[in-house]
Amino acid sequence: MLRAIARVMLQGALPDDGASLDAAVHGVRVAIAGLPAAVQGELQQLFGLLEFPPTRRFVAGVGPWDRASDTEIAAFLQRWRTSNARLLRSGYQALHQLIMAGWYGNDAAWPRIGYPGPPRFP
Amino acid sequence: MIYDGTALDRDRAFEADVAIVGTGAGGGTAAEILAEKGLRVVLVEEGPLRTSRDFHMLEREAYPQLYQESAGRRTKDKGIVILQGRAVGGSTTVNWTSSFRTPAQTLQYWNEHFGLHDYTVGELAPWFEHMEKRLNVHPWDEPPNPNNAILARGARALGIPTAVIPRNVKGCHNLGYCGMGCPVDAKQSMLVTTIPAALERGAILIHNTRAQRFTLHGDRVASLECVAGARTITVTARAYVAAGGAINTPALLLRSSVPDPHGLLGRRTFLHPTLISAAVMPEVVAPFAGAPQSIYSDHFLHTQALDGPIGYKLEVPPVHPVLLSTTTPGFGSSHAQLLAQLPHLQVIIALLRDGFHPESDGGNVGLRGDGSPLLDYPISPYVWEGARRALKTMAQIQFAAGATSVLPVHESAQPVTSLAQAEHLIDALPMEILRATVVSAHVMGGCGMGSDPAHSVIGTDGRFHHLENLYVFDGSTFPTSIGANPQLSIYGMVARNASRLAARL
Repeated sequence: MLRAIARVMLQGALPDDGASLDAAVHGVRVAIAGLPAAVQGELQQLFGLLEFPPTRRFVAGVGPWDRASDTEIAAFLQRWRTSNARLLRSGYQALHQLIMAGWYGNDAAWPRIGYPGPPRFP
Repeated sequence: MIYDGTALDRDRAFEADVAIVGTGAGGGTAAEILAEKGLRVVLVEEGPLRTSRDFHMLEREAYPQLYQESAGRRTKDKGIVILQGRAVGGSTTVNWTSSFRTPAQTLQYWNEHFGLHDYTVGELAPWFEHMEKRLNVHPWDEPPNPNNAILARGARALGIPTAVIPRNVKGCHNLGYCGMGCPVDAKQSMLVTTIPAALERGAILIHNTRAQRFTLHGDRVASLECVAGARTITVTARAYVAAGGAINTPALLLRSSVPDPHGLLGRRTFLHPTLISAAVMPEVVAPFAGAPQSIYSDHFLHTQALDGPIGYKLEVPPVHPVLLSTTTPGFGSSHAQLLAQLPHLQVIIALLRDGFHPESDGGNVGLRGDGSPLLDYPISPYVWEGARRALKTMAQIQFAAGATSVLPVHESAQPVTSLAQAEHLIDALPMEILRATVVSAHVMGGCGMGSDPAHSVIGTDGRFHHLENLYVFDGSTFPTSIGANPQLSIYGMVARNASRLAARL
């Protein structure tokens, strides 16, 4: 699920190789591990909702994650991002924050955005 | 003596004259002053001890290690992201070094509304001076980096005054990575100044250790109970100082069930709700390099009455990949295209001065089921009005400085190429949480000071109104927001209150 969402969230940012997507997803898992228990619990609820087939179809409107198309996933993200329901918008913001941090914390993300990385000194 | 609480092989008890919870601006300042007077001090810190050797200028390391909730702490409705430190040195280890004295009009307001009669410019001046000397605070004397210079240039073109920011640095390498911990010990944070000094005078520092609660006996605190992994650590002292910062200090007092006869504890917590505007410039800006904050404008704090429409301070933030990517709205190719312009990005932030108007009474700290703090901060229409005005001001300055496009940071906004377009766009933006991006790096209040116990939590000397030996020495005591980056306000006021406490003991 995370892999599928990250693939679409990071479209245009990820080099076209599986390793970059792996790195992004790994980054997300590391980020989650560093969060306090209460916040991890909220994320588990969100992920549970997105993974459990009946709720996945109902709240996200997508088929099984391993078969969902980019267009289908982008439509789901866009719906949540602009939803009138705060809860859905906050779900989108949580996914956005985790996936962006998971990818852009990696050195591999930097050449594309012209970030030279930390300076060397002395 | 330094202990890592999680490395202790058994439960431990410590005795001291003063037990201090938290090692940031408040705890650090108090520790040095009390230890210098020969008092035995024990400092308890929830975060880890990390030093310049651990500071590799990498966001992926710094945020999880040095910040509350991995730099992603959010308000209850998730509407505001809060940057707050969590390490030895507290937020001073990771702040951007801006050091302002408390503005005169803020003190005047406190005097009139909260009875803080000895919080005047004149009475506090020697304490600010003392701490400025101690932490080498001086106006930044190198040229501002382009990100800051563009704020100055755009403002000048519009006749808006700006000034140079005083910073607490010594031998600064002008790297731009203050927010990830200073790798060269140039930043005069508590980590490299007051805490080492207190340790030399015999203070004990216990880190990776969370203050769970004060136990009470009659009208006194009897002990401080702490948890570090599987270990329980108890500290008994003559006086107890809560200095965990706003949000955490009120939460500690709530967990301790201290008397709160007027239901004020945790209320009036302020954030300087902050709006963001990103511009693409024709020239290279490299907003990730160089001293992050060196230019500011207080013009929009002074264009209307303090208790009129909300005012705002203008500054710029450092722009690094994780903060930028998580803050930039949208996803997929539009998001990727914006990030690809990073070398040309210029970013301004507007910090709204909350707490001076009946429709800006801040947020309320409560506890989750597990005892961890949660701040409920609903944004009122009064504050949203200021947010819209601030987005317009920032776009105006950026276009005046020559921006080719400006993006008000909001999920419904697109980059626009003229001021007219920007104003049109901003007028139409729905001002709601989780659409407009609102962040905070300054948490204040929740244990407000005042002379009247019916309207305040803490007395003018920092003592908790309802217990004999409990003090609060941190930014949670501010009865409003400060209207400036708060570190020097904390240093100066705590220096005075800690000196008074030392004299009493």
